Formats: sequence, structure tokens, C-alpha cells
Amino acid sequence: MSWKLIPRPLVDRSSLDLSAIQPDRFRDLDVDAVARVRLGLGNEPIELGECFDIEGAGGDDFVEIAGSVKTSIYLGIGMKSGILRVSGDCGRLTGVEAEGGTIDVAGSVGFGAGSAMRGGLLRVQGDAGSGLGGAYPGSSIGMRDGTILVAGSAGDDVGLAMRRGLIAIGGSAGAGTGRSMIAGSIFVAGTVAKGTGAGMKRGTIVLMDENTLIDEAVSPTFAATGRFRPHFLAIYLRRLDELGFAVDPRLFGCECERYNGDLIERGIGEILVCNPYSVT
Amino acid sequence: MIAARVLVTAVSAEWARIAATTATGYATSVIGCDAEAAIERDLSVAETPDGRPGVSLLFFAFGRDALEKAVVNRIGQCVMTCPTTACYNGLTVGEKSIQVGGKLRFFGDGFQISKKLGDRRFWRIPVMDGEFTCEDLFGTVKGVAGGNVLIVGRNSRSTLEAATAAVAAIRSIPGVIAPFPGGIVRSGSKVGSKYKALRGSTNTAYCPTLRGTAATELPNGASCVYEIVFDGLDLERVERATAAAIRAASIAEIAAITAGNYGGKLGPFHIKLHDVLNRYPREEAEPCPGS
Repeated sequence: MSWKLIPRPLVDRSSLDLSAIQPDRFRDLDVDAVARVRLGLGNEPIELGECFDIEGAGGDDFVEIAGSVKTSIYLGIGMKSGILRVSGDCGRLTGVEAEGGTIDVAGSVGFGAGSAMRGGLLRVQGDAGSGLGGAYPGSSIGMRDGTILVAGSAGDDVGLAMRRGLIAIGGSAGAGTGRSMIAGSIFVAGTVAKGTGAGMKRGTIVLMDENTLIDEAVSPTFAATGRFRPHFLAIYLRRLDELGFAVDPRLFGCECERYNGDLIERGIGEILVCNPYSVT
Repeated sequence: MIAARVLVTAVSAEWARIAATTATGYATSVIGCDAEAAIERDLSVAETPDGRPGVSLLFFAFGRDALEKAVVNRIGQCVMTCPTTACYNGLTVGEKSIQVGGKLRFFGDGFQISKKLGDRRFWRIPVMDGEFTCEDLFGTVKGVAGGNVLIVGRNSRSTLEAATAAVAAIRSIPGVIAPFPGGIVRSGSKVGSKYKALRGSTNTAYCPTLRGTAATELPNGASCVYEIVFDGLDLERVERATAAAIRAASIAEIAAITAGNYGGKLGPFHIKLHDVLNRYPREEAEPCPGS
């Protein structure tokens, strides 16, 4: 059995702190205990039962929020295991500092989703706001591990200062994708905007759209090194495919244009632009 | 014996084979080589991590340190040097694994790149045709080496024919290799020698030309003996290989099929030929599932 939480209209009135909704902690609770879990609405504490209608029972590490919680903050923060499913949209800082488990969002997520994430999977069927997988406000290190998949587009500063992990964007990404990246991998199927990889030390940004205007997106402090066939790419693409991320089959075994940089930093990061017509 | 499985991929099956053949050269017996190694089987594009044609190799050595040294040297000198290749682990990585890519990465002179995907780390080492990708850790298992059968024939032609058929049967079993040339040994050995410096010497009891001058185990009419030595990832695979080899070699003009047990003192496993034939009847002697 699992818990199903149906949002009441109240939840859209003010910022709703959902940090207490943790699948592994809800497993052994009864309905009354779940209803008494303390959330935060604006500056005031509020019990979960006042914000959500509760159905189901414990037993599994599975919680479903059957609707949108657009004003939510900290949903799935520090989550360690289990599955948290949202059938609508989420607000800010979803899945920050998550260490394990899966957060599945059928709609879109707001600012800072997956910031400082340390493990687990955040899967978003809609769009993501800015700061996806980036540094938590006030921190110099972004996502440390784990996987973030966004089927739609993402805002600015995807993977800001990320240290490790994998981010894949099915649509386009905003300005500063991979800015100040320390390591890790970012895949973007659509277009990217200015400042891609600016100040990156290490790590890989893979641009899967062969029409990417690299001169506009990437600063001159990246050095074009020519074409080659990165074998590791197929391993990553296969993994993304296994996770349900839509991958253009033409990209398996394709050649890439490589740009080394950012040369104002260590210069051992890379931006790869895939050429789907190069598969032999 | 400790075993590792190495998956080598390349732009074509031919190049993967070239790398695999080179990497498993001079690896017939740990008596005189750093490891026992051979090609396990060819891999289709659907079976390899990077979707290219590949070859699966098995390596066996006396201990984990020796295995790591042999695999690192062989991949570094024979696979990394071969055009278009990449190299991946083929066994589950646990506590008892060996580090391969993590040792070879230093060839990148600081320009090597690490990619970590889940629990697996890959090293990308820049080389002159692009980059060489090698997995960091390779899993190991306690394997069983030294499985063998001796095929005793009435003439060399039919004995070689039987031995060749036996090797083909062994090689159809996943997780088993026959590391000698073509899988066959003509210079089978016994333990010890009249010369103190040697640990082994020619198996006098099975040398047809020594009849009358040394004690013989050969039946009347026998004039040629070939030994097949094989290593497996576990005892069951070696037993299945033994049964398959005996059946495949049982053709006309074969006088006897036996095995060397070296007084029962060489290794902890004793495989009794009649026993494995009973336990693995023909219809069950088909390839066991890959690991």
C-alpha cells in the first residue's frame, strides 16, 4: 500500500514547505500520524491533514501527490529512499540535497530543482526552472551526484557549479548551462543559450542538436579540437534510454565536434556537439 | 585461480579480434606466463557497452595482484595500442576487484578524463586516433583452472580431428577458455624433472616414442596423444566442458580418453570423467547461461 495525498485549494495561497513529506518516514505511519505531520504554510506551521486529503495506507516507500503543488518548497529535500510521485506541477527547490530514491514529477518544477543533489533520480515530464541541479543558494558546489532528467526545457544556469552526476534536458536550456561546472555530465537535446560552459573546470556538456550555433552559445575561450568519436557517449545514451529519456537513435556511435575549455579555468572540460549524420 | 572477464570493442569485429588475439598472446599456462588467457567468444553490437562489435576475454592468474598486473600490462600494451579499441569490465564489481583503467589513466599525462555513471567509472585517455576508453575496476571471481582431457588416438590425423572437435565443444560453453594454441597441447607435462631447475617436464607416460624406455600409460596401438587444457569461471562450467569435450572427441580411431590428475595433488578440484558424463548427459551439455 502507499499514501495518496490530494491537495486542497489551500495549498496554492502561500509558500508551502513540504520538506516533511518523506516516503521512507511515511512507511510506518497510520492515517492519523500522517495527518499530524507538520508542514509550513507561509510563516506558520500547519498540519498535513489541513492541506491534503489523505488516502491509502503505509507499507511501501511510496507517496503520491495527486495534483499540483505550485507553491511548494523543499519537496523531497534530503530524501534517502523510496518513490515520491507528483501528478502535477511542483514549486521551488524540489529534491534539493536528495541522497537517494526517485522523485517523479508529471508536470513542471520551479527554481532550483535538484540543487546540491547527492544521489537518486529526479524525473520531470514537463519543464524545469532556472538553477536545475545547480548550487544551493549560498553554496559554491552544485549537484554532487545522482541523475536529473527533464523531458521539456530548462531555464538558466543548469548544473551551475555541479560537481558530479548526470543532467539530461529533452528540450532547450537557458543561458549559462554548465556555468562554473566542476565535473559531471549535462546532455541537452535542444538548443542552448549564451554562456554555455562559461568558467567550467572539468566535466562534459553534450549538445545533441546538430543545429546548435556554437559561436553564439560558447565563448571564444573554448578551443575547437575537431571531430572524434567518443565511445563513452553510447554508454551514457544507453543509460538515458533505459531511464525512459527520449534519445535520438542516430546519436549512438556518432561523431562529435569537441571544444575544450574553459581556457580561463583549467581547460580540461569539454563541449561535444553531436553530428547524427556521422554514424558509420 | 582468480579470473577476470575483459570486453574489448572496436570499430569492426576484425579490429576487436586483432586486439583480443594480441592481448591473449603468450598466455597459455601460469607455469611460464604471467596469466592464462584466451578469447571466450565474439560479442554482437547488442552485447557490448558501447554498441560496437566486441570480443570477450578471460584472464586467470594465481592471485589478485598477479592478475591485476597481467591485465594492466596486456591491456596497456595490446589493447590501448590497437586502433579504435575500448575496454570494459565483464563481471560484477565487488570488494574483490582489480583496478585497470585507474592504472592506465596515467598514460594520459594529466589530460585523462574520468566519467562516472552510477557505480561505474570510465577513464578516457587521449590517444592519437581520439581517445581510449577503459573501465576503472574489473570484477574478479575464484575460477577453476587446469581442467583437462587427454585424447589418445591410433594415428595423428584422427587424434587431431578429435581434439579439434573437443575444443569446439568446450568453446561453445560461456565462461570457459582453452588457452593453448588452437586449444590443444601436444607437449603435456608431468610434475617434476630429473633437472632440478625445472618444475615440470614432458609427460613421459604419454609419449609414444618412449615406449620401452619409460613407464607408459598408453594402450596398445596408440600413437598420438593430445591434451586439452581449459579454465572456467566456476567448477560447473569446467565439468560441463569436460563432458562436452569427451563426447565430441569420441570418434573412431580414438583408443582412449583420460585426464591427468597428477596424483590428485594439483589443485583442490577433482573431476571424475564418468561422473561428469552421468551428471551432464548429452542434451544437458549445451551451453550454460552466460554470467
